[in-house]
Order: sequence, then C-alpha cells, then structure tokens
Amino acid sequence: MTPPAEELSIVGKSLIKPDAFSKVSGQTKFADDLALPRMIYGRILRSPHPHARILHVDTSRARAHPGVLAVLTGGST
Amino acid sequence: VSIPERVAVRLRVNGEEAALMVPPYKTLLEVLREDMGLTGTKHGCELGECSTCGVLVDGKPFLSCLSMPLDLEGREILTVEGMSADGRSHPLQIAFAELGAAQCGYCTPAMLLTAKALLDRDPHPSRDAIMEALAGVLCRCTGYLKIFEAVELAASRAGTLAR
Repeated sequence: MTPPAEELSIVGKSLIKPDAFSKVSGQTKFADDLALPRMIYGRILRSPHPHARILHVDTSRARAHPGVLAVLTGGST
Repeated sequence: VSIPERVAVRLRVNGEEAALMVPPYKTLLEVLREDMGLTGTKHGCELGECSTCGVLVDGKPFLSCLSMPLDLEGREILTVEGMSADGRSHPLQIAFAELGAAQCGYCTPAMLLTAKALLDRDPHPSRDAIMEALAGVLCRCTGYLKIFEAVELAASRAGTLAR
C-alpha cells in the first residue's frame, strides 16, 4: 500500500533544482565562460539565402588567410 | 593619433578596488569577464538589446556591453558575484532558486540585479512595476512568470531575511 503523501520525502514536495544556487550566484559555467589554454577563435559563416541548395563552398581563400587553422564545411570529414 | 596598447584603470567592483591594465577599447563586459574572471555577467547580443550583460552602477541597471571602464572610475559596480554577502544569498537569489525562476540561467544574473535595483527603490512593487522594471531583460526560456513571482516572494520576505 502507498503511504500517505505527507510521509513521503520527495513525492508531492516542491524541490529546489540541484543547479539552482549555482545559477543564481553566477557560478554556472556556460560554454562562453570557459577559458582554456591555447584556445582558438571560431566563426560560423551562414548562408545569405533563406532557401537554397549548396552546390559548392570555395574555402581556398579562407584557408590561405594567415593564422587560419581550419575551415570546416558540411563536406569535411 | 596613437592609441595606447593598455591603460591603467581603477574600478570598484563588488566593494573591492581593482587596479587593472587593459586595452582602452575593451568594454566593461569584457574587462569583468576576461580580466577579472567574473563570468557571472553574461555576454549576449553586445548591442544593448538583450540586457543579459546588465550590472548595477551606483545601484542602477547598466549595460556593461556598452560601457567603457574608463568612464566608470570611482563608481560602485555590482555584479551577481557581489549579491551574496558573507556567504549568505540575497533574498532574490533564494526566491529565484526556490521557485525555479532560473531555467537555463543565462539571463538570471541580469534579472537578479535589475530586480535588486527595483526592490532597493520600491520594496513592495506591484506586478506591473516588476514587469516594467524587468522588461528590458530578455529571457529566451520565456520563464517570465516564475521570475515575476520570485521577485514578489523576495519582496514579501523583506525584513524577515537579512539584507
């Protein structure tokens, strides 16, 4: 038989989320908050067209740019 | 005109004096996050539209992404990290945690600080006043109702909790 609700410790109770105090104190680390050694910068190039077929992405000039480590496209493996 | 690589800035953040050497073009948001390690202040649109970078300057909401540190020397800057004192959470922080008003948590620091500025000048605001005060801070979880309720809960406890 199920015990009455007032005898249960979890069911029927309003519980504080485990991460609530971390969030309200600003301690939660989001991706943008991480600073790791030798981090590099990334940038997303989005399509200028709302509905189009990608036939080809020419990455040659981006790859040739000084300091560029990688250019990734949907075709990258 | 030559721009110096770094300039000396003295900032008062969360009650402490900080002497920094920072590039003069860095915003307060960047200096807080990158030079002072205070990542509780969040980086949102960087255009002054979302207010997630909000801090308090002399008790008033301020967009740190549009503020230059050199303009703020001698002013009192408060970030979410400074809301707790002596290991005790601010009543707003407790109410936000209790009512689940922090969902993803990204707008939470600015929401808390903006609500603190409101309660400091109006300890028992109406729902309308709360909505108006927080209107500029965008919550993309759209959890506004719980946020309003948390501000009301904190206000109702004023005097019963310390600070």
